[in-house]
Parts: sequence; C-alpha cells; structure tokens
Amino acid sequence: MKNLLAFIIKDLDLLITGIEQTLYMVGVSMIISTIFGVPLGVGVVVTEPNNILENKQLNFILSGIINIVRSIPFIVLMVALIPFTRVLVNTSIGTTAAVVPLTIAAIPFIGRIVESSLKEVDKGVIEAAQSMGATPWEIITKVLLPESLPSLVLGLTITAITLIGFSAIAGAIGAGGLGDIAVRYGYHRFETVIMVKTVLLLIVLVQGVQTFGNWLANKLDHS
Amino acid sequence: MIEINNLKKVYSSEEKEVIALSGIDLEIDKGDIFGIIGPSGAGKSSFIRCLNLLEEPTAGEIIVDGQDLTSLSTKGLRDARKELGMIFQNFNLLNSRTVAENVAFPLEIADKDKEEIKPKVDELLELVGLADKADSYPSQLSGGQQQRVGIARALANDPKVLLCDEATSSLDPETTHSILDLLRNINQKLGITIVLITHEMEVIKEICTKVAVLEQGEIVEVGEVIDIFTKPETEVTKKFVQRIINANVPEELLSRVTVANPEHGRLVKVCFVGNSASDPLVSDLVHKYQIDSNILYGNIDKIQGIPFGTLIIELTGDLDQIEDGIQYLKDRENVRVEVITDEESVSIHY
Repeated sequence: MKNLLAFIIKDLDLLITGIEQTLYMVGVSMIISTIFGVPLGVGVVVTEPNNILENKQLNFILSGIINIVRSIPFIVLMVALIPFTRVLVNTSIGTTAAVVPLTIAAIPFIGRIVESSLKEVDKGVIEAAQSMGATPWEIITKVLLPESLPSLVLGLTITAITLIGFSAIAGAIGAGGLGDIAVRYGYHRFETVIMVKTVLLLIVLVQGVQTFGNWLANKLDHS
Repeated sequence: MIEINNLKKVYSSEEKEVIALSGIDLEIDKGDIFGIIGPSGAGKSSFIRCLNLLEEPTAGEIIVDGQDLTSLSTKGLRDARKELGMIFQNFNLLNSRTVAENVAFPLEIADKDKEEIKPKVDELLELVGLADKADSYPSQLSGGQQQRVGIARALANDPKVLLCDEATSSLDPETTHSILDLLRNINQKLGITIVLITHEMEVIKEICTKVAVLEQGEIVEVGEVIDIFTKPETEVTKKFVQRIINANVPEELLSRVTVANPEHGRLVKVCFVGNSASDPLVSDLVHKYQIDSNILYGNIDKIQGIPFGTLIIELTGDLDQIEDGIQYLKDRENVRVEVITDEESVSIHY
C-alpha cells in the first residue's frame, strides 16, 4: 500500500505540471479557434448556393482556406508557422508559442465541424423563420446555431481531443505538456514508468473530455 | 385582399426547364378560407411559397392589401411577411425551444419587448388550447399539438393572412378534423383570410368557402365550394369530388333489369343541391306522370351548410311517361339527372 502511494506520488509534481500545460495549450487554443472557427463554418454554410446569403466567391474563398490549412500535416504547419509565432508571441518555444499553431490548425477543423452540424438543421425550420421575416443574422443566431448546438458540442469535443493529440506533437518542439514529458523522460531517458503514467493520464483526460461532451450534448438536445 | 396576376414559376437547371406555374390569375377576398386543391406535382407547393415569396416568382404580381410583394426591397419584404403567417406540413418548429419560446420567436423577430411578448404568448397558447404545454418541447408533443403550436406561432404578429401548406396532410383524420375546426374558429374570431393548399378534398369540403383546382400549373376551375362539388366541370375536379362523395352506383344495382333492358324502365341517378333537396321530387313523379318509382340508394351530405344529395331511383311504367318525368327532373334548378344504361355510365360523370 505504502509502495503504491509512493509510486503514485513519485513524479507527481512533474505530471501535474504536464497536465496543467496540456490543459493550458488545449484550453486557450480551443477558445480562440472556436471564436474564429464558428464564424468560418457559418460563413461557408450560409454563402452556399440557395442558402440565406448565397455568395459564390466568398464561399469559394472560405472553403478554400479550410481545405488549404487542413491539408498541411500538423507537424509541418507547426514548423512553417515559427516565424509567424515569433512575431505574435515573441517566442517560438514553450506552451504559449504552441498555442499559435494549435489554434491555426483547429480553426479550419472547427469550421468543417460547424459546417456539417449546421447542414443537419432542417431546411423547413429555416423556411419557417424566413416566412416570419427573420433577417439572415437572426436566422444564424436564433435558428441555425441553437438548433445545431448539441451537434456542435459533440464536434467541439472531437476538436478538443484532436488538440490533445496535437499538443503532444507540439511537445516534441519544446512546448511542454504531457506529450513532452513522455518524449523526454519516457523516450530519451528510458523511464518507462513515467511513460506509462503519461499515457494513462492522457487516456483519462480524453475519456473525461468525451464523457463531458456527451453529457452536455445530451442535456442540450431536446429533439 | 390578395390579387395574383399572371403568376409564373419556372425552375431552370442546365439541362431543362420545369414549368411549375404557368400564368395564374386569382383573387382571394378578405375573410375567405380559400382552398387550392390539385394532384401532386400540380404546383400547389410552388404556388403557396410564391405567395410570401419563399420562392421567387419567375413573373407576375402578388398584391396583398394593395401592395405588390414582388416589387418590394428585401427589407420591405421582411416587413410584409409579418402580415402573412404560415403553417407547414411538417410543422417546422424549433426543437431547441419550448412551446412558449417557439410562439415567442416571431415576436422577437418583430422586435417586441419582453413585457409585450409574455402576455401575447399566453393569449395565443390559450387560443390554440395548449396553455398547459407552454414549457414542453416540441418533441414531447403529438403531431396535432405541434401543429397547434405552429398555428399559434403563425398568428403571433396578428397577420392578415394565414398560409397553410398541406397543414393537415401528416395528421390522422381525427386530428385533421380538430385542426380544421381550430382554423375555422380563427377565421371567424379574428377575421383572418386563410389560404390553404391540400390534396385532400375532405379539407376543402370541411372548411373552405372557395376553391381553385390546380392541374399542371394551371387553375382549371375556381368557384364556391358548393358549386365545385355539385357541378364539377373538369376531369380532375370530378375525380376529387368522387373521392369523398360516393357518386358511384353501387355494384349490385347494375344487375337491375332496367339497366340492360330499357324497355322495362329506367334507372336514374338524381343529384340535388340546396332547396331542391326539400322538394317532393319523387312524389311529383308518381303523381304527375303515374310512374312507379322505387328508391334504391340515397345519400345526403352537407357542404358549407347546404344539403347536397344523390338518389338512385328505378322508374317503371309507361316509357313515354318516364321520359317526360326525366325531362321534368332535368328542368328543375339544382337537380341533375343521369340515366344509367350500361357499364360505361358506371364511371359516373357528375
């Protein structure tokens, strides 16, 4: 028993710091990318042909941005963005620096997720809102987003989990977090115990995020 | 109230053009419950969607209360739409909102204050009989209840016109009946003009005052409901009428001796409308022409409170007298007579 406790307590500080860093990177990039990703996804949907703000050019541009960013592997994106990151946060290493590529990668990801969620909204409901004289803005804020909220929450959950994975990759270039610990201690120093602990923590983290997302989506779903 | 001039709707894709509406002219008076019936693909849906410009007409004018909707700006159209409530076959309620919030939706769109919205929503839910369901979500309601919410929502901004897009088509007959009752009440209580499209003649019969029959994008018949029922002129109308008024001669009567052998007498079908229903037609025949008449089948119905019936009578006796008797019936107003002779006349031409 004592041994087990000692086993757990050992490296605890290190692991707590790792979790904190991972949560910081994922949390901040989730918030910023949601702020940009949701309008991007909404923009793609409403500018489609026969939608409320049909605009072929804008649709082409927005959809193009999503496709271009999404086709770059994260590790490449991270490296390619180093100059940009440096300009933005004055450094290219560390957790804050990792937030930049994580956010840039997550924005189009969220864009696509928002797009597919909004497309699930029944056309008839949009038509009903139009028949009442709703403006496109009112349709977006009072119909499209609220009606697709459960689906959006599930989509954002997927994004958060993907970002947890990406943050571990970012760890490889000195971003900190659980991924960084696993690589530095587990891989470079052959400390298998720490490796196993980080993996277990990551599993718990992902499981927790998914469970929370499912619970929230379910609570919001009245259909 | 509503004037439709030369309304055309053409759907064009790269390969072909589909003409949904080919030049419709129609006038709908204030307070009417105006039904548009037609087989599927006739253009009913396009028609009602053109009325509030959910679909943009290819050509033509939609004049509501003196204002041509097709000439309005986007903003002007949005305001005009607040005067036109609409309900749908699939109700189209917001699943994320409660019943009360759904009804509040158009009021929010119209920038009403919170203090104004609450009593109005309560009043509307009272009107449609759902005051106790205010905090339920649409998914917890039956189809009929959902349509009541749809109606309350459509009435929120006190529109002058209520457009009903197959509003009862996904409901069972009993629920249909109660929804139609509600629509009739609303029409009488609020004086609102109702325009509805349907493929069910039952709906037309039950609540409409006027009806237009739409076929292949054209209005082939229009008039008072009673006239359309008693004197349908086109094939498509006859088919609709037959569906709910059993105009067919019962099978067993066709084996009557008079059908195949005119020398024995005549089997006639007499249709009568309104006051003629109370005239002693049969006893007149017996007394004036000394014909034996035997009533084999009878059916009476009411449309807009006007009695409307069918009798099948076998007339026997002197053939000349029978012919005179038939002529006598034919000369009466609001009476239609048809001699049933052989198989062909079975598919009754009303």
